[in-house]
Amino acid sequence: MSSSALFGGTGIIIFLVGLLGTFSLPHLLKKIVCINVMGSGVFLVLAAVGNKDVGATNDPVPQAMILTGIVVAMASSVFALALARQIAHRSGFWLLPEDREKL
Amino acid sequence: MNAEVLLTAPLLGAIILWVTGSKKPLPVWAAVCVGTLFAGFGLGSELTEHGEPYRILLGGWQAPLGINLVVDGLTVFMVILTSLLGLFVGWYSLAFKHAGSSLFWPLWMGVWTGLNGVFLSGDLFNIYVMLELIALGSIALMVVEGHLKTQVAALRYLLAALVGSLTYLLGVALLYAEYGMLDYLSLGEVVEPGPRSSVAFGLMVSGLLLKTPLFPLHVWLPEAYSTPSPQTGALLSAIVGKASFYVLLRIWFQGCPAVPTPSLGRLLGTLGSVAIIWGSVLALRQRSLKRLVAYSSVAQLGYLFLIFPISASASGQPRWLEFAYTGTVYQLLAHALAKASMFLSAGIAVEAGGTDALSEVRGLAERRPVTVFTLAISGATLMGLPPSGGFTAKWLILKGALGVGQWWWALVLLIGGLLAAAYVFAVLRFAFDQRDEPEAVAEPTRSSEWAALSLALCSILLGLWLQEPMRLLVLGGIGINQ
Repeated sequence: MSSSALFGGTGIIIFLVGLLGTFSLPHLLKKIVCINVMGSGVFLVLAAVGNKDVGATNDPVPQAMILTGIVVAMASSVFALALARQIAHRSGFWLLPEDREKL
Repeated sequence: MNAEVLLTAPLLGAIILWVTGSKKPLPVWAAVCVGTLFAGFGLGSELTEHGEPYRILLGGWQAPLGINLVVDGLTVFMVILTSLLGLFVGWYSLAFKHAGSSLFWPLWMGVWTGLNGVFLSGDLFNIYVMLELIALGSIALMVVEGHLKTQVAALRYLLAALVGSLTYLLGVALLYAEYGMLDYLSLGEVVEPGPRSSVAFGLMVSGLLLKTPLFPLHVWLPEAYSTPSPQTGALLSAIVGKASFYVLLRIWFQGCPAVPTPSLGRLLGTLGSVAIIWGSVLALRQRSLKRLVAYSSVAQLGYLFLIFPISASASGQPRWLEFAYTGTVYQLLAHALAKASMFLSAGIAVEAGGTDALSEVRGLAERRPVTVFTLAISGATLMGLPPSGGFTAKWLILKGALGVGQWWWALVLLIGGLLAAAYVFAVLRFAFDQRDEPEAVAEPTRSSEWAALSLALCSILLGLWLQEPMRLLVLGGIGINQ
């Protein structure tokens, strides 16, 4: 198995784990962390896409995509965290109302 | 030059308004509206001169190093629609008493930049970045008012939007792994059906469906559209969701035209039909005006998805696809204008009545005749009554559906129209009721009512003006190169 396929496959599994967590874990912080896990999976896939055999030059476009993606992911995580903190502060729960009802 | 103005004018506006604290938004707003409207129409006339869609290489750089912009009929209509919304929603904001936070202006200009970026970009990754810009900007627009209920709706929307755009990005990454390109027009020439491109395509489509949203992924929508300020609700429902649908059209018909199977088209068409009927039924059951208008968005978005099953059967008969395509774009435009107008009118009604309850709309016809008139004519577009843009849209989709022998969508269109009539009249019935007790409530300004009315009139005018747009839309765009 080539290293690209290995890393790409791992990236997809990490993405799916994050996706599962985002929907199944009720805690807001966990949801936001899970979305970051999804993002890391996508970045790993992109890194595998840009990876060429030893000696050949790597494709720079996926690297540029990862760097841009990290900036976007950081901005949105910070925003989501600020929003979640406000909600937790005002409602007293790190949960969305629909998850609170299930408790 | 025009495309550059469309991208930089709102961005400059956002920066200026941010730095100056939006104390006097009027001159900047006016300049950006005039600039982008001129540029939008300029783009349209350039396109007519070219006679076919064309690319703009920013800074003269070729792909993959540079970023390509693509201009065709759809692009022109989307950027003009965005400018019109910017014009009238901005006017309303200036005129409305509770204009809300001053952050509205720089944030909306930022979202505007992202929207024009999506509509002009020819590059799938660039589109991802612009979609994120739109999502973050519009969610920030929601929460500037600071109510807890809105914040919860905003976080739910943010989580859905992030999952949607990461899913889309994974699809883009897999497509890049296979073909080494991001430019959707070039991809359209090389992408072949197969398991890998199907997975990539499926991921991109599901991400976009979550963001648009299509039933049953719409659970975040009603709260997100109905709890923020009326201006924000209007912009979210009119254009923000449509940007994701626009990308869906691009990848379905131009990025990966060989990949979608007829059964996938039928699935989206069926989900769209369920959205039309279920969304309308839920709209009928609402007791609050803004929630009614929000659920009606779920229904009206459903119409946009009928193009996919029609296109699956239209191979070899581009005429029917052209009808369905023009109808879908018309539905998008007409719904955007009418729904924005409805949200703004709902804002006026809430302001005049004190609460958001539907029953509190009573007596509005006497006190606010212009607003009730606005609700009635934007309602006519949602129902699809002639001569509104909504009628033209539904008629064109119907023609496409019957042309390829899929008569059952006609039934959906009919039931959807009747249900829309039911929920629009549910509002109007209350508006014409008598109300005894005179109460001291806020008086919305006349000018804000005129802004909402102008949007509704635009949605009617759209129905009267068909030939020229239709020619521009099918000009080498989606449908022709099938």
